[in-house]
Amino acid sequence: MNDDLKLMKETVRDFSAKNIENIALKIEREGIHKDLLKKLAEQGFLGATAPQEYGGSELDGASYRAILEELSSFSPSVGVLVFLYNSIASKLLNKGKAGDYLKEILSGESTLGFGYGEILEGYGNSSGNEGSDGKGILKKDVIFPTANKFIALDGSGQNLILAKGKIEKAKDKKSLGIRGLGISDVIIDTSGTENLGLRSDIVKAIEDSSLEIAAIYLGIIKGSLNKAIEYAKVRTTFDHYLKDYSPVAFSLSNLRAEEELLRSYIYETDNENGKGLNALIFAESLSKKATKQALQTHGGYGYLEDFGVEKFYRDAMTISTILFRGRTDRKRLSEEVFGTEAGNL
Amino acid sequence: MDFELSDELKDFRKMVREFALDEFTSEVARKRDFEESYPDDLRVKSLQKGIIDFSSPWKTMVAIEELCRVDAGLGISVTVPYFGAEVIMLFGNDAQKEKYLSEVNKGKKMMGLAVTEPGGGSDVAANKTEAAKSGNKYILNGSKMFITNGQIADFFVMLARTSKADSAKKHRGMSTFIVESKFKGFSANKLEGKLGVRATNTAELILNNVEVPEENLIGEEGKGFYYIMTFFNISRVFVAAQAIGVAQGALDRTLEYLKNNAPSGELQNEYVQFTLSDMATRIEAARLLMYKAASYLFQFKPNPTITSMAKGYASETAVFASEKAMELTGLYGLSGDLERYFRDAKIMEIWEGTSEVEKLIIARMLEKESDSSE
Repeated sequence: MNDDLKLMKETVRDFSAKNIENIALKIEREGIHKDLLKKLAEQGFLGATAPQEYGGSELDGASYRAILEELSSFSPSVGVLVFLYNSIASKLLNKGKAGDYLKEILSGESTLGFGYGEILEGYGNSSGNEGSDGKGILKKDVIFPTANKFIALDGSGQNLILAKGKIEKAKDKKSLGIRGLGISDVIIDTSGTENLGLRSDIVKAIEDSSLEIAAIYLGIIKGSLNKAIEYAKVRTTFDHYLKDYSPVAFSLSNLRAEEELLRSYIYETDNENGKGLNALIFAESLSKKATKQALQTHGGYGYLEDFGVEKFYRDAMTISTILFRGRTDRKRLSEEVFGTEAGNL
Repeated sequence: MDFELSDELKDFRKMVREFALDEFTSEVARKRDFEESYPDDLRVKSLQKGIIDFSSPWKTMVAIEELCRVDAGLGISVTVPYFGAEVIMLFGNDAQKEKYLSEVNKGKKMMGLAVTEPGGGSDVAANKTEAAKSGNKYILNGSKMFITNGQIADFFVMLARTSKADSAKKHRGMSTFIVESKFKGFSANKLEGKLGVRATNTAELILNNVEVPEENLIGEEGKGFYYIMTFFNISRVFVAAQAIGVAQGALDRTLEYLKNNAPSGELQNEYVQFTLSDMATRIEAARLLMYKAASYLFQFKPNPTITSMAKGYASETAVFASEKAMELTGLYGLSGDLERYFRDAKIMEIWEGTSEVEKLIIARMLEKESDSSE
């Protein structure tokens, strides 16, 4: 890792320790507040890779991944938000009137949600007027449902639009993960929308971001293992520190070793030729193992939100559902490996 | 060797399943999970309908599995008001059984077990709560952590130290008491923000000079640790039932999705098929282990090795199955009921002996058994 990258990581870590760590539980309970958005914008994180004309920082890929890793190690919700703004919004909104809105969200003035479920998975009904008041289109599983505007599919289910919307009904459940953003159903107002392109554009944006999603996972792995390792140093049971017991020490150090391998790969490669997919598929499975072990190391305390470790367990699974596309991504990797169609049956 | 349950138990299982499907709707389960509130109405209803029958341990085990199969938070909530009763049943005197257990059996009172302490966890012998004899009563001071029913139980079977800890034999000098929540100096703080089983009530208990009459001492002074370990050998079979319920329920709902809601052809994909097969095989293996442990235990020949294997394996199976269910159902599972299974399952590897403790027990028993077989 070169000095610039080290410095970048240190900067993000300091920022997070100062501005996220002490409110991490509040983010889980109440969502990401505007003052944090403003600070993220001032640091240039919200628009890390966006063009300067929209208020972006035009950072290189490794610096961007460093931001994602470090932020996610404190709050995966914040990491996912920065990812969605950079890897999706900045690629889709950088034109015409939508460009004005891109400026607004990158400055932290406004917020942007994503009608994610139907866009990626084709899940939910994308056509017809389904809102409870007969106006607008009901979108299921929208990320950041309290946002001012949304990227969603229009009635045809093929075109991406930028539109206003409102939460369909009062929540009867919390989302499993990324609670700082939340996931809920939203009714999209179809009047006065901006056209942003085709559904396939957003799918491509995601497919081109394997390493960046892996960087979010890397942060989750790091954050959860940090907690577990620190806890194992101070917690005693049967007269010894947890760290002194071989099963605890071996499993945590093994996971840390895998984390290190993943990190060096993530910062030394690019998304070409399926290399990003290598990292993504490894990171997805490692994040589940690491967060599970980190929670288990904490015992009963790990099961309570106050200890800040169960969120990683929830978030790893949630991100695996929304950003990692299970069989689709495994099939993509298979096709890279075999050089032809593979894994259909 | 017969792998079938009796006809009576099969009929009972069917009745419990129907009850759970009728009463544990998604709406109710979500509400209790979201609000972290205990479903007292369901507790009363389950008693009225004969779902809970503590005179039969087999029925209890089957009921726990079937209820948790539909929802673990609700299922545990309605079966846990008797938690700890076996300690009084096995080691208490007739007066204690009459005064406390009969009320619990009638559903008029709720009880709990208070063993774990802050920072104590698995290491029960490291407990610090003290019970000092003073005339014809004991004065209890200390605190208890992660106590199920902590805020709603009428009384607790509580472990406390009646003589100073001998560093080499810390498990000696501990005794069990019946402590009523209305005793002066007793207080309970609800623990909120649990990852799962959020319909169940969990609290930290504070004991500040709580006076407990000496007739509330269970069994003999100094034998408390042994009583509690005997209890865990029983309750672990029931935790296995909770875990198998969660795992089976996750598989049920995954199959339901694949058949009715998934894009066509999904169930024909071999990756999906192999995952389903793994889930089902592990569930069946865990259930057989549980039946074997139960068979020994309910004939009063407990086998701690098999019991720990059943509890440990069943809880890992619950975590495995709920994780795979999430992977196979994607956003359907995330926004529906399956994500709750994923959150609920994890506690099974922690309470009533963590997976690590179960492994230690198995290893120690293996060593012992190999000594005696030589």
